Amino acid sequence: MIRVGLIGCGFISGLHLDAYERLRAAGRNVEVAGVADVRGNLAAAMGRKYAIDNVETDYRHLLDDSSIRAVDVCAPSPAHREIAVAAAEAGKHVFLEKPIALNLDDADAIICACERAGVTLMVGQSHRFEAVNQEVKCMVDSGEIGTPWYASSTIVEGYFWPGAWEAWQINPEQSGGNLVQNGVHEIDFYCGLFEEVPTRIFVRGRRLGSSHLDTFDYWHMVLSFESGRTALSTYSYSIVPPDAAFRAIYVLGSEGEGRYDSTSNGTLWRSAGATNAATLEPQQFYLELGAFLESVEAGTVPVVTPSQARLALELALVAERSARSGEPIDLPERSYG
Amino acid sequence: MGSERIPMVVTGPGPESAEEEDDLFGHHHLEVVGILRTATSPEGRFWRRDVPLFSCLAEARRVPGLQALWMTEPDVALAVEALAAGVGVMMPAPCQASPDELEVLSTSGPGKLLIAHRRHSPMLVQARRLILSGEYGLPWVMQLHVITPGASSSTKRERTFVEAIDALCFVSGLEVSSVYARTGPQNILVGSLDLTRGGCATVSVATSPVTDLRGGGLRRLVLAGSQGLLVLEEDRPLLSVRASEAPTVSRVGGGAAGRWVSRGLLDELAAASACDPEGAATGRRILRSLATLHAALHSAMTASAEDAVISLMPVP
Repeated sequence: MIRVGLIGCGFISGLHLDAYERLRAAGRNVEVAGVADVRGNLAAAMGRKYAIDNVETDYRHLLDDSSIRAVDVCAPSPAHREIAVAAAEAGKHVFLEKPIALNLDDADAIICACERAGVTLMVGQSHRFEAVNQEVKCMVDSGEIGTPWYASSTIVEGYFWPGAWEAWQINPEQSGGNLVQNGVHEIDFYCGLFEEVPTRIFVRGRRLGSSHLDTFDYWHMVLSFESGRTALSTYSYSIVPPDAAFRAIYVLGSEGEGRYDSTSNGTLWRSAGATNAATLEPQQFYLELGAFLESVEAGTVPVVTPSQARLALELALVAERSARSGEPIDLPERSYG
Repeated sequence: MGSERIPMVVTGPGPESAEEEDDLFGHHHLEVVGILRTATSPEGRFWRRDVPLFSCLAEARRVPGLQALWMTEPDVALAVEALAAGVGVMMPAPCQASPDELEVLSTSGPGKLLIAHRRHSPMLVQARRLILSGEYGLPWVMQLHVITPGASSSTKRERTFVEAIDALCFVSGLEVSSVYARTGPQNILVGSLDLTRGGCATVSVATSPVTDLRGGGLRRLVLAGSQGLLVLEEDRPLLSVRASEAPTVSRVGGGAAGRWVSRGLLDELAAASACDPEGAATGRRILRSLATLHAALHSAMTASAEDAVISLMPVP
């Protein structure tokens, strides 16, 4: 049995708790043993909803509980270092929501603390667990479309972060900016898809919701790879109307292509002489947390390695800089691993 | 426009298809009176009609009332000669032309210059109509993919890019102010565009190895405006996404978009050649799209980060 303490009871924690329930229902030996949030009302509400008795306002009380083997940190990014290091020092395995931290110093401190304590550290780069992205990865790895040369992903939504002007996500000091907060997903996905690190990043950002925003609620990012590959990522919140949504991915290879969009009833159209369809269901947090639990149980390196999470942050910081400067930024060539 | 058909000469290797040739020879207001074969326009794939052959423009101009020249490949020198003689010209985008040649082309006349574009494609006609309706508000950001199946060539890539830039400007009413670009294998050209009035867009052009026209490639426009989100896809069911209502799915076009385009261009050439002082001639506008192409290719080739974003000349 892996007893988990969940720290931070904002929006994303609900998706995690839903996933734990699904994991339990699927026979996984896991239990959420307590939740904590400095905002006691949020923690209490989460406890009531998921029938969790142990509700705390100080996460350290969860760390003091020796029956808890792992913590799931859903707290805002600025709190990651303090919580993750404390958890590691308490001998807890650590699952951290993305990004790993807001700067590389903090990321390194977290990684070192977990290594020293001999505990598992996994960061929630959840996009690589999305069903369609996993299907695309399988398609590329199988060689079905030959050498992949171009990929484009599109996420445009009417969503806006809760909290209005007080939302921590629109405060770059709290979130690192939207390229750090959400660009980190796309960067991680493309590095993994191509198993290559981009050598140039260019981003254009816009403030669609209000010109007074301190972060870009729209951006598109061009990732250039030394091999000649190109990835284009387009990401937008604040689309009108609020419930509008369109998601798409397209991969072009030397021998075929794959194409998905959110109007295609969960079908990834693949054409390498033939057209196949795969039904895709949303299950990213289920798969992601399942992978974390597996690595804790087996004592193996998690599928999202700490160095991959650090790389995603490093590149996301570069992307944020490109968006703010309007300039492409070159990066050294290095291997992905 | 009167009932008499306007005499027109065709030149170049030939149209893309037999259907396109049928349109050329069967237009209501244009009459193909001959084929001009020059050193750069050898015998073509589909030129098979029983019409006179001319070896130079001067010879072709002996046809009484010749007013139009249709090129299936660009020939700047021939176009300038025809325009100076008062003959209207339709030519594909001359992507290889130098800035000086483009300048000469843009100031040549009195004939009207029409450079091929895709504004008559069902997707773009639909997009323009919807944007002008105001239903989607002011265009904010756009994404255009033109991944075409079939043979790959840099000429095709560049022409497609120019047409894509023109398409975005046509749909949005905005102009490109700067571009960052990346090229890659399979004639990939990805452009990130700054647009006037704070807009921005991406254009992705490439060739798909999937040769089935209906199944391969991607021709899709995503436009987010201040009032709504518009997603249009050519050759597949088109979707207008407005989540506040039930999404509506409709198919427009229903055939090869290229035929709609060539028919529209023929109509434009007929109008420009007949009497319309402006015609629907888009020469100068497409020349600006060519400038965007040149900036994009320069950006893609430039090693230094500082030079990769290039400001363009003001809107003509």
